[in-house]
Amino acid sequence: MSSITFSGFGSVAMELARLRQERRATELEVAEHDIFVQTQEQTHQREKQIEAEKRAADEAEKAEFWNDVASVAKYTAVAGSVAAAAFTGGSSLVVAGAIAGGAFTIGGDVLKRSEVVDDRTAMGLQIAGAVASFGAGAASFFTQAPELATQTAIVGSSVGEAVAGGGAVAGGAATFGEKSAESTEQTHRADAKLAEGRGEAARDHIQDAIARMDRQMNEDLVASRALNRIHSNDADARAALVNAVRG
Amino acid sequence: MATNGIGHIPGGLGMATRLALLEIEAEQAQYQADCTIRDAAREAKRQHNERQVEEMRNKATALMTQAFTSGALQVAAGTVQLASASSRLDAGQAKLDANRLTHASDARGQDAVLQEQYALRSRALQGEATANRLCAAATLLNASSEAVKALTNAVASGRDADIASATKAAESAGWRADDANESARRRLAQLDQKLAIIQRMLDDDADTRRALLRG
Repeated sequence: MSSITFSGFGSVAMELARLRQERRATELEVAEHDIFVQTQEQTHQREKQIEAEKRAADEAEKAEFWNDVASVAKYTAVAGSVAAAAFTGGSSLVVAGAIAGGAFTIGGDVLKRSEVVDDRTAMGLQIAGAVASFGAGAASFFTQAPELATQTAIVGSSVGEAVAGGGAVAGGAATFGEKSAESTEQTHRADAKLAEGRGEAARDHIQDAIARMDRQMNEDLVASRALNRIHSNDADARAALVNAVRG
Repeated sequence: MATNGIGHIPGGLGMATRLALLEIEAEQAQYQADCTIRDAAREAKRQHNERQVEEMRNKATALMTQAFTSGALQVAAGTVQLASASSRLDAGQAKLDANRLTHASDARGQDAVLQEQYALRSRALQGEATANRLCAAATLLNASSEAVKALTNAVASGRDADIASATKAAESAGWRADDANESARRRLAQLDQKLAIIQRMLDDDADTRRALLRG
């Protein structure tokens, strides 16, 4: 914002204007310093943001890898469970439950991945699979275990169960890898967001400082014009006074 | 009017100049108001950003909880199932051995065979029972793992919703700050123009007085 200096006050006005000019010069220096500091801050925050985003992308890749591993482990576990149930030759309820559980679990996952069904439907299918598997497990606990008559049945059922167990162990490890990578990714994203916010704040400070400088320079311009006018007005007034005194 | 340097107006100014000065004062107040709105909006944006960051960290914590609990439960389920498989194999083998003894001709005599058969069948039954218990435990652990997963996923989804809402609020505050900043900038430019006009009016006034003095 510019200022106005009134004509006719001669040296007092000049002195005032000089003082104001000095103040403006100081303010300009402060604004320049602000811009320097905030530019450094903005650059620093930008670098931090880029670094955090890069780390987040790396973690996202890791999470994707572990997700694939977890899926394979899950399929293996489900296939093992179904094989184990089938080899026991147990009650049709147990076998059917195991097969349905496996089909729903794998089907839900595959359909979700190939984007045939939405997330909600896929989750419904997987819950149905979990319930069926749970039912099969519970049924096998409460019903009389069938007599395994052949070596093949015994080995098949045990191997199936061992495969399911191994799959579950691998799945657990992969879930840990996947979720911890996702968590780290999220933390890096939060860091990036924080740095972005701080960078934006620094940018605002820079804009304010530039506006302040702009204003100070504008005021300087107007003040120097006014000073010139005061100077000439003062001279005119003195000349007029001298003329009047001379009569 | 201490802020814009029009504090002392010499006498002889017309009413128009005084009116203009009052308007300048009003503009100045409006400019300050714009600046206050802008600063408040910036502060709101900063707070929303902070909330967003906090929610993102909460989501990270939920995911890490899921990693540890669900992962551990699943590993435990798998381990128990492996133990169950081993027990079942052992039981099956004992059962088969018992069956073989039934049909075998043994020189030890019927009693000894029956005794051994009884021992094998007992071992098989025990093994089967253990395997069943372990299998049930594995199923339970698996179900718990799924439940924990669903729960933490729900928490993470809730955090996602909060993050989205904070992002939206921060964006909106950012726009408000930009608008207020732009408004303040324009008001300042207008204020400068008006001050220039008043300066000219004052100069004209001084010229008139000078002409009167000379006249």
